[in-house]
Amino acid sequence: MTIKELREKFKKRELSPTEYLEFLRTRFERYDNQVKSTLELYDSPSIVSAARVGEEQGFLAGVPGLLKDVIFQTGRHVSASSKILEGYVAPYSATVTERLLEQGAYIMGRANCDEFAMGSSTETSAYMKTTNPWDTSCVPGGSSGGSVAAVAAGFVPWALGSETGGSVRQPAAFCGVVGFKPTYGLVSRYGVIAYASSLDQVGTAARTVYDNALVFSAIAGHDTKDGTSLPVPKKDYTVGLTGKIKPGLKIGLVENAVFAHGIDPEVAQALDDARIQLEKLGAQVVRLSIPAMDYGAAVYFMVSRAEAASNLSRFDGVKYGLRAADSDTLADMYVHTRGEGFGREVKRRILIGNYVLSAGHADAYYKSAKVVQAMIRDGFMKAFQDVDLLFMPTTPVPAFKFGAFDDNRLAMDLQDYFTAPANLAGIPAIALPCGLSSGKLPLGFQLVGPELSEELLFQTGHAYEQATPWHTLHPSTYE
Amino acid sequence: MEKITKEDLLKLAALSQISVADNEVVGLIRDIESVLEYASSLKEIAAHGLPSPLPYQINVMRDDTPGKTAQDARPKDILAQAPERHEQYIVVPMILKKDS
Repeated sequence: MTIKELREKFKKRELSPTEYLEFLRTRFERYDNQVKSTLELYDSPSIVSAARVGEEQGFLAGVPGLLKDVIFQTGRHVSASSKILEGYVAPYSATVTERLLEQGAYIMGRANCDEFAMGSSTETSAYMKTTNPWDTSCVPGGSSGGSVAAVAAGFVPWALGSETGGSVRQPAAFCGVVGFKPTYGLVSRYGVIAYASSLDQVGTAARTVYDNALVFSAIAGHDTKDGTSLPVPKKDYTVGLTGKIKPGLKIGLVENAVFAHGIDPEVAQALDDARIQLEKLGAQVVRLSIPAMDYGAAVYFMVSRAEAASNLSRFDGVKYGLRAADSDTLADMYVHTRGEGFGREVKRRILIGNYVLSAGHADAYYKSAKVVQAMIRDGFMKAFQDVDLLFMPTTPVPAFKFGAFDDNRLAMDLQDYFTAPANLAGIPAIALPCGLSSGKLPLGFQLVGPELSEELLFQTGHAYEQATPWHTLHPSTYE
Repeated sequence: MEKITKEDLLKLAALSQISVADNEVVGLIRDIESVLEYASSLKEIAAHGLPSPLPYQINVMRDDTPGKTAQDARPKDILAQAPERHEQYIVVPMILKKDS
């Protein structure tokens, strides 16, 4: 059931929020041992009492969802799916959490993710590996794999994830749901565990564009607690969802992305079908290329890891989280706490980050990356002078098997190739399902827009969705 | 191609304040080298570009007033998270090792 349908049923008193909450709980209990989406489900009384308003006042009143395990809620555990924060209890709530509760949302639990949001498959979580509900031998994508898998399996109608290099869009493509990344600064980062502060944004996952836009409407808008927050007021992002696209809409098909080397033939076919569908809706699709985008992954690797090395230096065993036992000195305690508490991928990224920032290497790597990042952003801005939105793949392949990249970490990192450029440019994007592979795995595409074009992205995505069957397909195992 | 020696890696680990086990060294070196090689073209590309100013460069300040709302964290909630505490203090191991 979509949020829209759910709210109708609540209004007509055909269903009560507590009934629905219990229904979802039984679904989790029955199926989440296969999907492994959620680290912790909360007890119903505390879920209900946390919601600030009831039926009449909140537009998400009684609608259950999940927060990625990097988003704070007062009194709840949060661990970034890492051992270094095992047992940590959030002493305050993230702004996004507060805003959801102000609309009466039921926050049901915390979703599994890659450790510190570092990964593209949710395999690096220190606690468990979430599976793709469509095929549990495949990954759900990452880092927001738990959030997205829970929505795809129909355990919750919405979930929040976070994006640094594509961590909501990529799993959304792998799991056949709608994943959204806002303009940098549109959604507050206050109370969200930082990975790369100049790139991080909270993103939304839901089964339909309308649902996604509704949840997004609750969380977006200026926040005085986040110094990088844009001075944009709260608004209703569902208003423009007419089912039609904007008259005269011009979409740029990014050739160096759509026809890039390494795209699975079935993905390529689905992309072409999506393009045709957009034209049928009345969009004018023109071809263009953004050469600087080819360097997006390399730039992302440098910038994100450098910032991560800085952000994760706070985890030292002093004030919170894990503290290594039997340390003789303070220095020992730092080194052993971090050595024991961080998983391999996190260590890898911190080391690379410090390497590219260090004297003798910073010019060649980090500073060069920042210059190329500006070139990528310029490339997008120039493209948007000619077109309204850009069309490109979200991922090169459908969901891959567990362990596929165990021996080739770089190949895993390159899963971010099509998603990271939007994060680097600070612009919004929506990932939409557009087909199923012969192996019954979801295929997707993405639309990318200029700064603050969220309404256009939602409107166009909604029109595409309503003209196609993809949003009605769900993995059949979880009935 | 940038080659990283075991000594380089251990120095980097010390800088990052992370202990690295002997059996992790080879794998980490391999992973780091492959990412660096992938990014090695950036220097040349950057030579053709000019650093653009960042889109927003305004300092944003908030009022210098203590937390007012019920949702702000209280010191006792934050202190409650410390692994070892003595009253209002967080206890940590000594900085310098005492000679026995």
